[in-house]
Amino acid sequence: MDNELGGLTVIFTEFYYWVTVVLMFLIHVGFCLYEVGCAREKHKLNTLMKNAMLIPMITVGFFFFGWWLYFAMQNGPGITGGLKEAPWSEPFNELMGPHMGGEPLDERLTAADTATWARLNGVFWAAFLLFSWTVGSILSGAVIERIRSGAFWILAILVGCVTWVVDAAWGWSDSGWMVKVLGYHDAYASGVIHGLAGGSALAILIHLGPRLERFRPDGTPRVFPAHNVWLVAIGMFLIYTGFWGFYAACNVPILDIDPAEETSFFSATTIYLTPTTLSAITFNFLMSLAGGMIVGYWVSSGDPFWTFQGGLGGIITASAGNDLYHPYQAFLLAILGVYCAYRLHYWVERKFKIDDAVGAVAIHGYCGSIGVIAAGFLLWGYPSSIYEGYAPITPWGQLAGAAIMFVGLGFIPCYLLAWLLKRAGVLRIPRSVELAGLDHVILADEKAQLEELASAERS
Amino acid sequence: MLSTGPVETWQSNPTELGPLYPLVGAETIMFVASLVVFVAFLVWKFKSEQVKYDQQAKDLIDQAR
Repeated sequence: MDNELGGLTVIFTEFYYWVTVVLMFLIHVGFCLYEVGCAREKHKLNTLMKNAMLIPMITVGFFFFGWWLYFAMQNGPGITGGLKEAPWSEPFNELMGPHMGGEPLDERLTAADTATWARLNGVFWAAFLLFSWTVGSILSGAVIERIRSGAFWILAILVGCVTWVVDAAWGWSDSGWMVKVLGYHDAYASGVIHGLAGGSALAILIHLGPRLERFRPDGTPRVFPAHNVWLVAIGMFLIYTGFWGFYAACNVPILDIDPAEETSFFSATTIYLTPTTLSAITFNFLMSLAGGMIVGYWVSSGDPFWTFQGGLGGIITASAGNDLYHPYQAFLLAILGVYCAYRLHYWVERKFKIDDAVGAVAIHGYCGSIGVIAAGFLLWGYPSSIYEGYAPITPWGQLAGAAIMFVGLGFIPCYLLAWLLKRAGVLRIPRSVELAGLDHVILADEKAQLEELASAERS
Repeated sequence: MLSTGPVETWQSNPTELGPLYPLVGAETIMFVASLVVFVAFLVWKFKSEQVKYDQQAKDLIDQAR
């Protein structure tokens, strides 16, 4: 901020992330509409509130400890170093509030810390927070119509404020141990968000069980049609729209990437500080969306649900390497990912009686994991970082990364917490309430009020 | 004059301005107060949800009879 170019760069970056946050808000709007549209009429209000209240739950939790975890856990700790010092991210630090970047009061902060974080802390925090909402919202759709809201919020706080943040620290930061040791590359979060969320959702679904009467006595699944297909469609389009903000937020918008001291070359970079361009990711975002929609439409014979979900799954599959892929690679990979996820979804559903109401495990978990592994082959040998000494991208590094995301930080923590909640008897609603509908009291009140009003109008 | 904040004038050198919010130094107390509210809300939710569903389940069984 001490010269005009530095000031413009910082303020541009601040504004850039602020815009991404506004765009990403649409992801949550989309998830709410989509989820309510998929729920049956008798459950819709509860479904809406369960997901909407995830916003304050994760926001406050992320302010308290999520943001600090992102910096503190980058070395493991205990793998490439200890807990990292990051005073600007502590919930009681002066930089977690309005600050002009002058002399710090906290002795652990340097003048460089305040100069950088005074303007960028809030917008970086919010960009990560919106990712956290997305992770929580992915779970929310899978478990509709039978989970208790309190239990869901606790699980959402776990994934939104702890597990995804730890995996981001490990594999989605410029100095995370997975990047250093495994050469892990996941530019637009196929694994760190979607793989993890899919693994988490699967673990919860195992303990939660299917919705009542979802499976016939012979084990074949019944279809529960969406109560409002227009909400589903609008919701999905809003998720697509918000996904643009998500992609933009995964980049650093402007950075001098020239290693020479005496010259400068400014570019956008990924979170790993490796160069890319907004133009490149725009090509790939749209080509992977297209590939996913085509295969979703094809395998489901034109079913709107799978066509829209296919578009999302296509983007998710290609996201790990969409900073570097050619658009044809993004397109073809999207087709492969969505095809496999669609087949896996129905195989798991029939084999294990898993009732994933919105296909979240398939579209996020399977597509995300396939995408991470595929990047290991397509980007084999690429440097994972701008820094010397980091492992290059390899299939085995990506395979290990996908397992850490889906199983290690996705499935296992949620499996344990859901088990505890089930043991405490607070995971699932009572059977009679589920049959009557989560909104049955509200709907009965509404009906009584309308009848009373009609009676008053007649008299 | 009573003042809650660290800013005495906006006509000073902006590079010397640090935190702008009132009650600088009370961050830990504010953190603890917010944490208590957050945890209390979650406890209330779990308890009230249990009571609500127990009552609804009982009412539905009574209606069925």
